[in-house]
Amino acid sequence: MDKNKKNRVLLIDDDELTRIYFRDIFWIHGRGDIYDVSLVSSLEEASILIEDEKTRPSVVFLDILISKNGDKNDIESQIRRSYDFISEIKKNKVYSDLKIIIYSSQKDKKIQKKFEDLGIDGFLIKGNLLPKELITYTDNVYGFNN
Amino acid sequence: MDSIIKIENLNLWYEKGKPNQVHALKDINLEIERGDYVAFFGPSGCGKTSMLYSISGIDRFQDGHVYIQGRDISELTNQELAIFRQTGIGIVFQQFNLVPSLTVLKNVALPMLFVGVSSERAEEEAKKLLERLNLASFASRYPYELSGGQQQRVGIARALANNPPIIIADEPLGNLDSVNAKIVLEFLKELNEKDGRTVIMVTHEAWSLKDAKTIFHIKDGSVLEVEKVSKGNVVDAISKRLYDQINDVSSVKERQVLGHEKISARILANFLLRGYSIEEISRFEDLVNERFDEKINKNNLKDKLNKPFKDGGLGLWKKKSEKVANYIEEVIKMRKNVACVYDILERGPELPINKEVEEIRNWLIEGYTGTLKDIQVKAIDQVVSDRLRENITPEKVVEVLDLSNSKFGVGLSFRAASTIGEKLELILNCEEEVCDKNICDDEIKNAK
Repeated sequence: MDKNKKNRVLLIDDDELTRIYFRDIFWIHGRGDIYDVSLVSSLEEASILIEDEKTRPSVVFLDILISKNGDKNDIESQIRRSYDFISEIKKNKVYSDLKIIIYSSQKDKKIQKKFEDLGIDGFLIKGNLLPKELITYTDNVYGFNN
Repeated sequence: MDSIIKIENLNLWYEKGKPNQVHALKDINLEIERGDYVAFFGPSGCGKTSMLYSISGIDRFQDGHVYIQGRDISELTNQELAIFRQTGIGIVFQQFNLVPSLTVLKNVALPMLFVGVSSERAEEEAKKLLERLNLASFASRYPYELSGGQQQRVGIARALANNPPIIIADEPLGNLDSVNAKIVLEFLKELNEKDGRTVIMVTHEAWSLKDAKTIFHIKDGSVLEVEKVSKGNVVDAISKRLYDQINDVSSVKERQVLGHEKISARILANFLLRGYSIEEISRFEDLVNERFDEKINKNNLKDKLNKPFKDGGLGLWKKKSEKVANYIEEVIKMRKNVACVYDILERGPELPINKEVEEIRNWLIEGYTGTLKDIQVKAIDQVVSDRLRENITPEKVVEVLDLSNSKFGVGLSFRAASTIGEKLELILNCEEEVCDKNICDDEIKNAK
């Protein structure tokens, strides 16, 4: 990870305000030169960015509760889709350097454990994090605070 | 230069296109460095608050650009602006603007709730902020149970709630007494120096510039001058500004035009009615001059101060009217005292004036909340005596009062030194006063 070049961060979240908030916190705290933050509202859009080497992020933040048009949108279905999405990435050696952080309001410990067993790199509860803590956390993931 | 804020060709009008259109900001171009402590300094109505509101996205300007961390905020959507205002800047208001129905703790937690932080986490953080501001024991109280100084500290804690990199303070000392004003200034300095935040303060009071590193002088919606203040010249810069303000009304030319009593009335207005409009200050000066000329008595003055502005009064609250009228009576008494000193000095420049000086000094230090040692009291007497004998200038008075004991000064805070200096100038312009005590002759006889 290099502080002198833009590091690609991707947020997958179906809530527009969360997406704006997430991106603007990096701007507000002067990290615009270090991070290139992309925002998508669906797993499908995220897959397209990840598959293309030119747009592939190095760190993905995702909410595990993302609704999908034309599909079941109960909590179980949403969690299952996110689980499958992460499993696919973790299975693919091309993405071995890609870090995945869950960024969600889901507090259920059992669900958290299920995702941790997949080898995710972090599980953040949205309401527990102050704005700047999100920056500090990201800096830590990239090793910029060491 | 690492700019956190860059303003280009900014123009702001209120009521644009209407007959009552006001061109509040005119072609403003400026840059503010990350980690700077900036003051927008100028008289009431000069556009400095409009500038703050443009930077914070509260006022939508019609022309120009305001870049925050390189991004033009005029292009932000309402949602983006709302997030920027909640997390990018912390605003400290003159009127505190706390929510009266919420406890102190909930007031501080509120901005965090707006950005989705859970109430448990927000209150945990709010408690830490209240501890930092020495307000932990007031957490469960309501704003009305707190003094003005405590409310303003709650206002600072709330401004820090989402840990913004920029702190904006809009006349933050306007409603505070000297002790609390000093505390607030210390916190602003700490937020700048310790936390590394960029602090922007709007003020029309020269003494509050003491920690500012960059001063933008604003007049009639334009930046007149940008002053970089280094630690070495900060006292000089403030003294200069302070006495520019006083000398503004007491220059030789104006002395000839206005007369001494009118000068005192204006200084008095500056002293007692900070933040009031030009019309109100002008009305106040007229009333004070009527009292100085003994055209009205103390009770008439009190009534007129209380009477609504449209009926020829000033519209002050009853309690404030009484307080101001009492203060003016004290000033009149002290002016007569000074007239006696001038009488004595006219008869013999080296004659002792100890008794008068003591009386004046006691009046000057009334309201000073610190403890003064004997040596400090003696040093104040010396300063007063020197000023009465016109051995030193008003600037020198404040300088000596502010200078530490080890450097042969009195060792007061700059705020206290400025207040005492201003009070002293209030009673010096009294050539038209007559010494009505027989004390003068007695003094001379005793001295002889």
